[in-house]
Amino acid sequence: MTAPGFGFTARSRPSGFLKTVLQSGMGRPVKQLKRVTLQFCDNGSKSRFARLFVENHLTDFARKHPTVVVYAMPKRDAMPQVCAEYLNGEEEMHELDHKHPDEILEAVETLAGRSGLPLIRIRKDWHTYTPSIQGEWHPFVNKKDYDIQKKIDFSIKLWDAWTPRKNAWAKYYRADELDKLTNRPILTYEEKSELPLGKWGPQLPPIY
Amino acid sequence: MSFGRANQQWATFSRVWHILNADRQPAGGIGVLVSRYVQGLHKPIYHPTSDVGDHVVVVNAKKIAYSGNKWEEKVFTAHTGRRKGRVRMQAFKVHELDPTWIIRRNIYRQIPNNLLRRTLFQRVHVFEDENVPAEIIENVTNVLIGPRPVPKAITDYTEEEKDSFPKLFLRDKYFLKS
Repeated sequence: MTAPGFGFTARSRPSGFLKTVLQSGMGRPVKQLKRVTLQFCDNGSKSRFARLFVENHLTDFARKHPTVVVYAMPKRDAMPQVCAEYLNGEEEMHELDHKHPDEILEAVETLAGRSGLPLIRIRKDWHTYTPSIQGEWHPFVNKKDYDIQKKIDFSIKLWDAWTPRKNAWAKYYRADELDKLTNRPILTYEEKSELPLGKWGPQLPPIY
Repeated sequence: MSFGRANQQWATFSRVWHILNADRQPAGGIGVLVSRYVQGLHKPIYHPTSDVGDHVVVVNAKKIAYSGNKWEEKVFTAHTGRRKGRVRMQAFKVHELDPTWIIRRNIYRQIPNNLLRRTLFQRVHVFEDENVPAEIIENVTNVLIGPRPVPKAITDYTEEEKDSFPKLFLRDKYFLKS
């Protein structure tokens, strides 16, 4: 993984949002791994398995991924390392000392399958570049009749004293629901006295 | 009114100037209403850490209404800090001295008591009558409606409307008209 940029300490880890390359490869997948450089020593004991990997598995790997450039660079007294470079410019190094050829193959295959995006903490499980289709809110979003050339009129509106006032909760109901509430059947006094628990309430046993 | 892609955020976080006519309105209700707009609580983008409050211009502060006998019974108190420094004054006396003081006090007390209180209160502009400076009135884009509906007085009706009003009984012709 690439080193985090400036501004990060042990207490503040790099973080970012979810990203993809080439719409997750839909339509025309392009392998993002550009180049693999394998460095090892031709004499050292730490590079013993790396040399075995170069002899047995490296050509198969190169044949399997034809778009990837593979370099094997023997260098005296060097630590065995693999460097992967991606199309977006990211580099990633892995140390291979005392590692079995199967482990090296697994590491190189995972490098080949990756998109090259840095491995950082993901802030959210989802991300979109178009968070709102209808547009963000602004003060004039529901004021289509506002005219900047018209002079502002702040005179008070006078009501007749007998105008019926709506209840404060009336605006939270639909028109048909409000009609049901306002015009609901109300029991008369006689019906109430006959049925103290309501018309649909429990029926009391007769008293003898 | 549409904005471009880059100007969208400027429009979202721009400050709006509201105007409120305090004619025949209660002072406490104005304080509740104005403090919400000054803090930006009416906006869908409100967040306590983002400064999204608006400006509010209150006109006709001289004409506020109190219910009951509050003009005489309501007493504002303060203390100078010295001995015997307690000052008490009835509401109508305060209103004669400074017609904007009662509304300003009600708004200031409704804004939460923190470090932003005085900054937010600077965005409230109270005037005793309808004479607002042109540099302030030109910014206003929205009109707020007061908390209470104002009924018509008997002087607001014409003679024809008075005569056409349905009568329960006819007055004697010698009845004295006021």
